[in-house]
Amino acid sequence: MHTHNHFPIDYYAYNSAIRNWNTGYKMIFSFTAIIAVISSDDFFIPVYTFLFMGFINTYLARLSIKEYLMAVRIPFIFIILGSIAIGGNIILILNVILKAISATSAMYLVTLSTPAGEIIATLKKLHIPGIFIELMYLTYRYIFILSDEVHKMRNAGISRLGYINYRTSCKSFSMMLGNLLIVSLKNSRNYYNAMEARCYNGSLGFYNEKKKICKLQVLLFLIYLIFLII
Amino acid sequence: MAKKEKRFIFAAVLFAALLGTGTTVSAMHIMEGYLPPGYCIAWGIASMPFLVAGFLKIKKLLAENHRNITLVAMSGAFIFVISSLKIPSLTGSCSHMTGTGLGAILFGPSAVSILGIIVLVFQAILLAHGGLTTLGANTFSMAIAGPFISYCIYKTCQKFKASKHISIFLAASIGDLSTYCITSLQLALAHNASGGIMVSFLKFLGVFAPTQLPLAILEGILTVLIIMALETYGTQELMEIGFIRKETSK
Repeated sequence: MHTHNHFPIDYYAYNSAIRNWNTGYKMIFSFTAIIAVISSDDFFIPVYTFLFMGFINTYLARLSIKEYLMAVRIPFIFIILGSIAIGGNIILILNVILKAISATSAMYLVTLSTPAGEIIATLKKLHIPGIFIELMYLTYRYIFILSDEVHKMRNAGISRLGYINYRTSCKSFSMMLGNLLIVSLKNSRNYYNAMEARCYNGSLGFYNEKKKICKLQVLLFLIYLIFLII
Repeated sequence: MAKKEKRFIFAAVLFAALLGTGTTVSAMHIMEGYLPPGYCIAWGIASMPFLVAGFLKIKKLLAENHRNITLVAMSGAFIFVISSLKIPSLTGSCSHMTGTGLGAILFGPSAVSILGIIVLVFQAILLAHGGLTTLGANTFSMAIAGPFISYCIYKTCQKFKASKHISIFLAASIGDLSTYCITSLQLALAHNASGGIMVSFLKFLGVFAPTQLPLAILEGILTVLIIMALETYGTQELMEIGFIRKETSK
């Protein structure tokens, strides 16, 4: 049981059965699909992409359909509210809704199966400035440190009668965040010292496994493309 | 007009019903797949100058002392975490702060543009809030326009010698509102099938109003309370960030 599971998507990514697929391949595949979906006008491409990605994300990645649908549900409210505002005819609204759901499912091909560290490593190959990449690595790590901190502080608050009613909730919540900032700034000094003690001199190096692209993956991409063109 | 009003009421009711199911509402991120390719690229280009300016400032800050990198990264993580937390709300729904107003007041607007885009990437990857093709549009509304407007309001209020807490409240809530207006404008520009851009702009504003108006006020109040908590326990840390801001706005 994972008690400190702050971000389910991250949890799924580390446990995905297709985690060993080449990251660049997954990113190109997913991006092609997203672009195909958002530049399409008809219903075929979004529906086809949604089903195709659903197949990969559930059957190949061994994610249960229930978990997958929970993940797809996240952007739902925005999609529905936004679509009401669009107005006009039903077909147009349906088309926009389908496109959004389908593009999200294509994005999940990467995010539900690839830990953020590997995504950043692949971004590095695109020649995004080093400082930016380094900031991303560090931010990613600190997010989890701070989330743990928040978890502890919330428990501490609850056990001291914080959050008992609305007024107290607001007060406890903002005290927690103020304290979080203080804790995080204090820690940031220590983390630099810790990195320096381990020979950090301005660049972070990570070991990345080489992941080969197998025939099945090429075939999948080809099948997707062929149907796209038809 | 009556028809439109009915539609708004319907939207509000639907919204309340959906909240009952406990789904998470992402503040104002435009979802993946919601904008046509042309708009994605255009908003990306519009954000570019601000990002370059922010990047150069952070680069300069790090060139002076590389120690600041953990501080900058920690600030980014802080903005991410406060925007991922459920804020206390009366209805039991799950809404989130944007945190951009607080970020702009604490760290200065140009540094926040870079922190903001990193935060938005992680929100897309880890929380599925927003998306990768809509990153440009989201960056413009949440990491650039919101913080810059917040910061301007904060500075103007200070010039007119308004009380500090009132100026923070105004900066945070108006910053939040402007993010919401710009997102609505972005949506209206891309999807204006019925009537002109103005009509759909008003429609988007109306549909998101039930969530965003209370949220903006709440964000203002919470930001003031956070700053109050910081002033009580963290004067030293505030000076430390003041150091960042002094450096970045040089």
